[in-house]
Amino acid sequence: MPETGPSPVLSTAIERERSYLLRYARLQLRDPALAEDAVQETLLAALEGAARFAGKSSLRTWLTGILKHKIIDHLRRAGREQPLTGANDDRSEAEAVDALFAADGHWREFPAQWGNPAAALENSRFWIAFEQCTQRLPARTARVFMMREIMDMPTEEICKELDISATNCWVMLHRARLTLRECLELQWFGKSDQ
Amino acid sequence: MIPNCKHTSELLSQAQDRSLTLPEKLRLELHLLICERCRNFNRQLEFMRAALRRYRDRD
Repeated sequence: MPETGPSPVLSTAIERERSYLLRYARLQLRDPALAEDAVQETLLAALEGAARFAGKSSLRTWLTGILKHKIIDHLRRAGREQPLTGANDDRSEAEAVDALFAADGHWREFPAQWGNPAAALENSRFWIAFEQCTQRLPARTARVFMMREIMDMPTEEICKELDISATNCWVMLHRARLTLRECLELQWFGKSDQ
Repeated sequence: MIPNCKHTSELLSQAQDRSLTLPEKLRLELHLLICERCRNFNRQLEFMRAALRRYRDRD
């Protein structure tokens, strides 16, 4: 039977998800060109495999599933070529976390109340600060954190994929959250001129 | 034993990734009861997770 292409309606709908997919890929890969490639591959695969889209899940969910595989493939290749492990990075990140706490384990600075965080979500300038803060996370930490938060992977899966222990995984997630928190407070919530 | 803030922040973070054991939960609750800083931190963790989802999914 000859392969028939997707209907124009489906093609348009697939194309409409592009900006969502791009944002997703950028958050995880942190490189606009790589993200663009992954999304391009995803859209091609989707158009070729449109017959397999049964409409059981939403189109976005289906496309995200394909993109996730493309991203993981990329992370695997990149991991083989250039492992993201550095004892020095690790030490400086651990020191940065230690610096947040006094010797007795108390917070050095008060994690302040963030006023009305719900309002921040409606402010476009907040999202600029937010994006900058996510980009400032160190590469290894960001990779684990985004696998968890953006790709929704359970930690066991992340550990297996990156060949790290669960403890290591939790340490990195903890660091990522502390670092992001710190940045948001400095760049947004602690500022009086929001 | 009631954990200190650093340890509490670790448990609060892990609570986003796994089910804590009952003793861990109890220790955590005891600490949160007396520590406003960690209560703030906990709310901020929830906020950050929600914000990341919102950022990813916004149109």
